[in-house]
Amino acid sequence: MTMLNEAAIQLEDVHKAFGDNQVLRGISFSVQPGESFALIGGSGVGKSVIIKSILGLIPLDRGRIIVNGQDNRDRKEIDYSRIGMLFQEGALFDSMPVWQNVAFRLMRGKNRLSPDEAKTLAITKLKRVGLGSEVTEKYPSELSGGMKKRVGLARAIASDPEIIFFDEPTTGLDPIRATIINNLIRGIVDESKATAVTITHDMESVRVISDRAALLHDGKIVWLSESKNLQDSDNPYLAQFVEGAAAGPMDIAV
Amino acid sequence: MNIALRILARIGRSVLAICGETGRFIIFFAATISHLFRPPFYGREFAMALMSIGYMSLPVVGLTALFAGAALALQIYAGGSRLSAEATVPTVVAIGMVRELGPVLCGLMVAGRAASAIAAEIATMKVTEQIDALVTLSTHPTKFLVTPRVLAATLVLPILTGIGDILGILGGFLVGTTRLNFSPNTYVRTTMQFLESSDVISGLVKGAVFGAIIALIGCYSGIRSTRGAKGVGQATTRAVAVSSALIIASNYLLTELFFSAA
Repeated sequence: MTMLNEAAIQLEDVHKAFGDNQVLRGISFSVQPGESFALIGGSGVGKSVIIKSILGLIPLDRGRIIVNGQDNRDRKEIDYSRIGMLFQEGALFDSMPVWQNVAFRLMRGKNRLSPDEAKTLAITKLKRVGLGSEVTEKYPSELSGGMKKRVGLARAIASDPEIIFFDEPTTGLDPIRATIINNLIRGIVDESKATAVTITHDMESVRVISDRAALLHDGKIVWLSESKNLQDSDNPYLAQFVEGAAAGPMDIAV
Repeated sequence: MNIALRILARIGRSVLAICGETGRFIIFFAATISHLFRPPFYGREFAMALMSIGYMSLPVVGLTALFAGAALALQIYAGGSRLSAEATVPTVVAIGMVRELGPVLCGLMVAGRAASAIAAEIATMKVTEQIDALVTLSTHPTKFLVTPRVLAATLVLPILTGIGDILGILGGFLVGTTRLNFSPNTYVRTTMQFLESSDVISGLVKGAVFGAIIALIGCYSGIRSTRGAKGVGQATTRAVAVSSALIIASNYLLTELFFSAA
């Protein structure tokens, strides 16, 4: 119970199925305030389902999730103003220019800023992620994949959230841009002291971004430890995943 | 026995699916209505919906109504001449346009244009996780995406219907005066003499109902779409087909309601 009060995010025996496909089979872990946690695993093992469950976007079949001391079963109870999310493809709003995407939350709600104030703050956040004033009036369709990620990142941190989720932050990027995004995320997490949860299958992201990591397979967590132990672990699942070996305890259908 | 059971099971599944879909739509409709009266209100989204559903539909609605009115005048003249009732052309064109053709044609044209566009836009937003992003940005998708469109369509369709009515009557007037030997004065006087305000109001009310149907079905199809390009395409097709069918069906019910006792 003490754990419940201390953890920023707590998952207890979480189950989720889509039709006959049982995706999560009793997931339990916690993330401490200020900690950067990574969920790793192959494609389709349910990493995104976990994040969306934490965010209240997908209802659970069984178990519970506590975010900032609040049970998230009722989405109305979730305080999204304290949460930021970087989506895999950015999920930028096509009908708005970049600065309005970043300032979306800032211009709405009880404590909304004036458009000028929101734009100024959006430009500051865009600068933080390495984007200059030349992109502020552009639309998402005019941006490259890497730029979309940066804009998504700027939007995720625009309201200085206490918890930030990163969904496959380097997927689809070349190694150089992936390194830049990884370093950017690490820097932002360190600066803001925010709790971070990253889902990825990029081991470099895990090393750079996270303090602790968990490996997900067949709906369960099969390894959980500090990220610095990634190479030294004798866990057969982790070894197979890190080495990218086709043979091993994880029977992955292609 | 096995075949009979399988048929029964299939029928049962279909009935359950229809009941489930109806229930989901009723919940969606109730949520939309409840959000109409609760802040925050998104003025920019409402204005954009007014533009895209109303203003952008003007050319197609106007042209359709103009030519429908013109064709109607020719048909009534041809039919009326068999009964020596050619003089009824202005009256029947006006009543036919204002009560029936104006709202129905306007509804069908906007359904083809706007319901498909609404469904495609929202379905694409769903596929690309933009709707999930709205939630994480403390914004209710129904309030942000659905309510402004439903309100805009409900308010703008009567205006489009009114414009369609005028252009339809104008189409009839042009054909009547240039092809059917009506004098302009006689045509206008006969039109005004027999056209009642209740005819106009019933048509505008129909327009409002059709507007609500178009936006609700467009939004619902988009939000219920499945993943991928195929899902977006299916949502678009479903939005046009269902909203068009509902417009025709509700037009009959509204006509019964307004005119059955008359």
